[in-house]
Amino acid sequence: MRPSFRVMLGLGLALGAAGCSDYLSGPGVSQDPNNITTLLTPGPLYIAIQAAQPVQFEGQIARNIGLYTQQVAGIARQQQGFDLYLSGPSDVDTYFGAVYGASNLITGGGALLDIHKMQQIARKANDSLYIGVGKVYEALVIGFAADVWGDIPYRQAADSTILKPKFDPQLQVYGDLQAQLDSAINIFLVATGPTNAGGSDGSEVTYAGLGAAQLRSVYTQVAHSLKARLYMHVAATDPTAYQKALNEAKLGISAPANDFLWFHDATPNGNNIWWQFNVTRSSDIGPGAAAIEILKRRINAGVEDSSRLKFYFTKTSDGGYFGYRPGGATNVQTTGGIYNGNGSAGAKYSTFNAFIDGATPPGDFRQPEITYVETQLIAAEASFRIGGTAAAQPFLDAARTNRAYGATGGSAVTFPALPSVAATLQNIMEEKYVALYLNPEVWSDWKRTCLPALATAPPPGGTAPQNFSIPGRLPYGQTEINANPNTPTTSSAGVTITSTSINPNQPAACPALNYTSSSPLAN
Amino acid sequence: MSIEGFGRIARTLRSWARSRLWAALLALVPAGLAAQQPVTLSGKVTSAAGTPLSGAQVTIEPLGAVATSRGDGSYTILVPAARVPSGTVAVTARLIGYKANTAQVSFAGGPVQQDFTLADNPLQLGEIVVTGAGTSSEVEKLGTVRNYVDSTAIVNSNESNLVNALAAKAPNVNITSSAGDPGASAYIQIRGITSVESSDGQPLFVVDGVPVDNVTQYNLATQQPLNGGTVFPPNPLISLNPDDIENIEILKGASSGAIYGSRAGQGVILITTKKGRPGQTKYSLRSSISLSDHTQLPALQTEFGQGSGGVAETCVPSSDPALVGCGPQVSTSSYGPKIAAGTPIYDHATEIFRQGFTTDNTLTVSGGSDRTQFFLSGGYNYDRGIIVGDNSHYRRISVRFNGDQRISDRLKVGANVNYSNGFGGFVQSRNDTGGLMIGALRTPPEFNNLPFVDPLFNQQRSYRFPNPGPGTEFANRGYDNPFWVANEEPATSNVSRTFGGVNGEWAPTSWLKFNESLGLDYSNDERFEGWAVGNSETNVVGVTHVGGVTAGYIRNQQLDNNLTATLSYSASQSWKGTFTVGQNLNSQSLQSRQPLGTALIAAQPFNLGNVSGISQPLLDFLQKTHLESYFAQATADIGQQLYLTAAVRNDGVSSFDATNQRAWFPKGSAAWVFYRQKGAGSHFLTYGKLRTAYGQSGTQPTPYLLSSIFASSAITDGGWGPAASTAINGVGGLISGFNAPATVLKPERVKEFEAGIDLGLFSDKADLSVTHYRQNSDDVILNVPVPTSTGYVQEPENAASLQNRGWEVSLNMRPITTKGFAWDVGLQWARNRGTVPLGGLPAGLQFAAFPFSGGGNGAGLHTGGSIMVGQPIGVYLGTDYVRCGRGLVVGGVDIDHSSVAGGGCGTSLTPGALFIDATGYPQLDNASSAYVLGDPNPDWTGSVRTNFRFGKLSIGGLLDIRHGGIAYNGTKGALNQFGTGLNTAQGRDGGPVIFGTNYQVNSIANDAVAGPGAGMAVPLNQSWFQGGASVFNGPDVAFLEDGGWVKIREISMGYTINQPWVSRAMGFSSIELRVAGRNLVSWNNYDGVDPETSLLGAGSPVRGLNYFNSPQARSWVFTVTFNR
Repeated sequence: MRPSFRVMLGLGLALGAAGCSDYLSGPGVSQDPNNITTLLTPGPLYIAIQAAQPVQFEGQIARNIGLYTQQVAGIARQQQGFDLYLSGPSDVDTYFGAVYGASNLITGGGALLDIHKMQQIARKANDSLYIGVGKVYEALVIGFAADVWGDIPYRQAADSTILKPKFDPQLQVYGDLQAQLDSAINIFLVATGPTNAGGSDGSEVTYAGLGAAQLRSVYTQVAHSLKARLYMHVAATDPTAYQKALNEAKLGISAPANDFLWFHDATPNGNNIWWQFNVTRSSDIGPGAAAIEILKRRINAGVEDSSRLKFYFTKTSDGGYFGYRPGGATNVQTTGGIYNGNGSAGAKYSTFNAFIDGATPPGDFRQPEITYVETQLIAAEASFRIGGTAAAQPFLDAARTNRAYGATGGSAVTFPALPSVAATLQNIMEEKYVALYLNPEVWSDWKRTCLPALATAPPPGGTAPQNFSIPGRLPYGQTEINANPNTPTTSSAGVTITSTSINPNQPAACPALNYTSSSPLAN
Repeated sequence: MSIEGFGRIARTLRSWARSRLWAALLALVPAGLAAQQPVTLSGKVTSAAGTPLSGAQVTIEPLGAVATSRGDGSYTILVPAARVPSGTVAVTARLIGYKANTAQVSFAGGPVQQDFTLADNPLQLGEIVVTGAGTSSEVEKLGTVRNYVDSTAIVNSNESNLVNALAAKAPNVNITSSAGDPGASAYIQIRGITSVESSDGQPLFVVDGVPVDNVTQYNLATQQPLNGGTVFPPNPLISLNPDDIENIEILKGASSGAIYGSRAGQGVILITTKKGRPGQTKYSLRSSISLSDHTQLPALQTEFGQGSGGVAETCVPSSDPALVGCGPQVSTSSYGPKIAAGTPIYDHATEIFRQGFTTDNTLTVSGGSDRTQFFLSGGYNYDRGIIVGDNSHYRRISVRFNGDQRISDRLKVGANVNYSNGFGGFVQSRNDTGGLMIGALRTPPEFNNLPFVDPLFNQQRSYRFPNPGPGTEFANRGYDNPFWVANEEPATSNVSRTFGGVNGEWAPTSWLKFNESLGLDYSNDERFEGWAVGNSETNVVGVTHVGGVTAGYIRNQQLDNNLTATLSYSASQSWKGTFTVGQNLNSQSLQSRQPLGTALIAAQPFNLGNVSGISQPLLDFLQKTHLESYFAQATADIGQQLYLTAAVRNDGVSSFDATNQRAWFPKGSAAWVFYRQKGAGSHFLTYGKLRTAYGQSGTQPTPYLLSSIFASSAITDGGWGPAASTAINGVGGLISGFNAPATVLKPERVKEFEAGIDLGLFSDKADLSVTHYRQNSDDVILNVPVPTSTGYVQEPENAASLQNRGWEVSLNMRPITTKGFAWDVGLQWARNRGTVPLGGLPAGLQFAAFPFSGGGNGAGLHTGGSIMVGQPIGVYLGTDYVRCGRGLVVGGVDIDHSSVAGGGCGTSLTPGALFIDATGYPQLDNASSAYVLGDPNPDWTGSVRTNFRFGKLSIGGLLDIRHGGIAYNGTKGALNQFGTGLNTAQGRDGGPVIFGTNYQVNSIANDAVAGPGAGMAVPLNQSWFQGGASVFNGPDVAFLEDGGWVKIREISMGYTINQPWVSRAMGFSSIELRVAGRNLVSWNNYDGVDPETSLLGAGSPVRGLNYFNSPQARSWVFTVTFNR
């Protein structure tokens, strides 16, 4: 009895002592069992990219741009400060990060890092649709960031092997993006890979319902429109870009039906981001006086009808339309009444209309990102630069007869066709300013053309413009400044947020205007 | 394989074992074994005073044969004929508390009688000490300081949580009980903080050789907004009944903990449970009842009513038919007019508390024969808490069985198993707008919080929503009525836990011994928390006003196998030692699944079936860690005065990266007994030992930091509210996680040097121990921010270094030790200085915060616990008032370069002087929220313990001292805003004050002042309290207070009735009666609850924060113990 006990104990010990070779690694032990670590299809990433990007293009960066272009006004709390150009590196930290990936513990994702990962997965399957769409998104996201920040990390960004990405010159970034889009257009020519063979895998929500061939076709148009847009971004320093933009615009989005609209639906976390902001921050922003006054002046001059004004804004109780001056200033009068945000009696103001008011369901406004109208107006501006009004006229006319503005409640928003007006640069740019309402692209246009003419926000309680102009770029995020030694100092980046020049590509300032001048819109 | 086949193999092995193995092994045994007649060795073991001693171990050294003395002190060992030694051999009797006694016994023919008389051993010299991982040593051979807590000290503390029982028991072992609620967690910190991200900063607990879990787990739904309210579950080891503990060894430093390698970075607590002893079966029933109540609370004013600017809240008749009478009260504060005489006043601090009681019953049965011993206990502990209502309670049922069987002289096996069920109910509290204390302390004095439910409409009343009508279920109450919280919002944890193991000790020869231990710890914690309809909890998304419920489980499992082989060698008479090799396999898994259901459909029941939605992503995770280790230890005892130990452990851990999969942890120690009194007589020095040790231990990284993950969390717009779900159109999407996957991940490494001296003085009437240690923690893991252009936010890296230095002194005196009267005194003193050394943070990183640092979200302080180069570990960072010498510009004036008349600090500015502007008040400095404000760590800690014994009566006490350590009193800062704190009434009543002269910005400051308003007399009115002195608008520095205390932890009087009549009349051998007080008095300079408090419970090493924390409890305990 005793020896057998010893034997059994001995065997037990020997078993206990035998370690397994995979004891210290493997699924669930060294690999996270709670989250997906290996993704084999690009679909889930693509879904999240389409969900995430509206947060950037309709979120705080877009609000900042809306404030700078005076399409909206900051009337309370932080937005009021941003409207007075008081955005520092910590204010934009999360939005700079959201270009690339997760930008803090709760924000971001579905950005360049995930676009890269989606393309990697698609390349393994040689899936031409996803590879190409990835490149289109990359150009869209980075092209926007280059416009907002100037020099940015791109070639080394969102690459897990590089911990301190270098900043690339803005023009180089634009050049790279043109190449990306060219590559996308070529890739779309040939159908390869699983989504092309079997059609959509359900992850396409932007153009939901289209088959693979239709998607390749429509994204080819989007790529051309995007190329045209990005050529215009560099046109201030490279006049040859106008012809290139015109060429691309002609191949761009062919009809409003093919417009690229951000996906939104009636679910709380599917709602338009402007809408959601107005739910939780119901009185922080309001309609910008410039947007309303330009629309009113155009209506008075017979340049357009009132349908757009009525769609965008509500009437005040005294029957007029009045927006807020920058920073919510209400005590500043102008002699000509232009930009006077004060309502006639008791300072009544218009509010945003149902499409983004945060109150009237369904809140699913599918905001246009890049459209037929924008493409036509790019072509109009480029043609104007090359060949003057006559060359530009057909393109401006096309934009004015196809006035589409996204979709809400499942239906496209369209305004009646307008008769032709002379394709002057001001008419082209103001058409773009009102047609691309809330689209950050209007800031890029203003930086290039100084149109529409905008006065700098007055300091609180003052009437004179502040001693710096409307910002031409935003500061880099605080985390990037802290953690990346390659971050340019403000001087080497060319332009500080408070300097008078407006952009690394447009070192000149727009003409100084102020609210006490008789009319900032001399036309 | 058939049974027969197995039998054949067994037979073969058996015969082989007989023929070869034993022959071989016997050949190695020292000479002296020859065939004779069997011999019986027997005798009696008594103390020097003549008392029979039971439980003494009598060992025939060369044979390894052991017997244990019975109740009458007698023992018997039967030596088989084959093993009877020739000549004389050493026989030793040992018992804890007595000096071992060895006799040379001759076995020449017939029964042998050998009695032993054992002398008292106050220095415990020669006693066996478990040193972890299956190793043991003797007290004088230890190269490190020994801290030992025996069962009496644990039981007499009257704490149901054994961690609390350790308070003031050992130097530099600091306990913080997070509150006086039943089942409140207790935090233990040994020799400072050595880790930031990877752990809760608490030691490894090992019970009977098996590591067990003591990591406090918050409810997942409230973990993310931890700063914003939750319930605080107990630390898991509350499941161990303190009555079952025989003793606790505290391995403090890296040098003593190195044998546990990568798990010992915060120290190790070795717990040994009680065992049975041979002899008559003993029964003991210990039964106690305690009456408890709350200790100090914030002082509230009773003079001024609800309102603002001295104007009462006016009743605005509501046009809303849902509201009765006045609408919601606009004024949140009590800055109204003086309350008219005769108006009823309510004491909102105390009215939510009542007297609690605890009953604690433990029955133990133990006994056994020479070969078999058992211990069986059953305990029932019920604590009805001090908070009103039925939701604050804790009940523990525990059962333990320990059994040992000596199968042969060479083989001993044992098993122990502990089952317990702990069921606790908790009230939502602390930083929580839907919590108990916020609602209570903010209520104006004249508002009656009762009834908490409107009797007519059955809706919650609160001071900001006093007259609810029908249909107001979802209306905003502002803060919840505390009675409503205490009665209507249950939260429970129901833990079933089993832990224990089997162990074997096999000594095939006298010089070789194998120890095997296989242990399991399994617990299933059923969690539940309900938010009733109409609640004001704002930080748990989806439950605000509409109610919700989280229910699920946390399962924890740990398997541990530890095998050692110890070889004893004896090179010569003066050179002996041991050599041990061992292997440890450990597997831990933690699974937590706690869905949060949002928006209750009907008001009751709290059930996941009664909710409108389940919050996504689901709160569900699994975490596994595997460990495979080998270790070796060698000891040498040279000339009975120099004792050397060297050991090394090699750990393979699944959370290390593949290239660093294994790590070495060495240690070495030397103890030199330079003086040992020879012979009797009175001497100043009776014993002296110098010791020194160096060792390394570590902390494992959190699992899965190496994985690159995709998650499905919502994408938010930087905190403005908008968020986009990654699932759109019914199709799920994924985004990359925010952590850049770590590429290199090693254990955090604590390197410690320790040296000390142990002295026995005045014929052992006193002993003194002094220890100094120097500890560096390197490769401490931090989440280092990475450029956002990488697509990530942070990367976990072995990036930081921490440093702890300290002294520990303990002095025990036994001036009188006569039979009728004894008096002893114990003094302890310790200090620890933890700092972040130069280069302790990666270049460019200004500071790093502990997870759950308590900052932000309305709890005030920006960073409650942070590491910053050159600063104490855990330092507070936050906002300050404007001070001179910081280059600040105030109102366009550069105050450092401007005259006083020009609005500056003047030409002779004192750097750091408080700047008083022309209004006469200090101003908030918005320039930085990272000023170093205070050190939460105490300057020193100490304790005084004494005990008198007059015959059968004993009286004892324990004083616990914590000197210094800055505490953050966010509660007071918030009550300044609300005008309910007593000081706000005194301010309104009193005359103007002059800052820096007769009024300071906080109670620890003595600020120089400068600036145009310096010396100006100004009133302390509402605008000051809501501006510069409010937690919402004022700077963090305003709420710092002295967090030190002197408290009477324990005071007790006991009487033992063991006269013969007890046995004759009642059948008991003795009855002990005891009256004790626990935490009766705390002397401190803190304005609020006791400064021993914790906003974050035991789940975070961040100490000293208070934001509407619950008070501590004190109690009177009456105990009767029947022994048979």
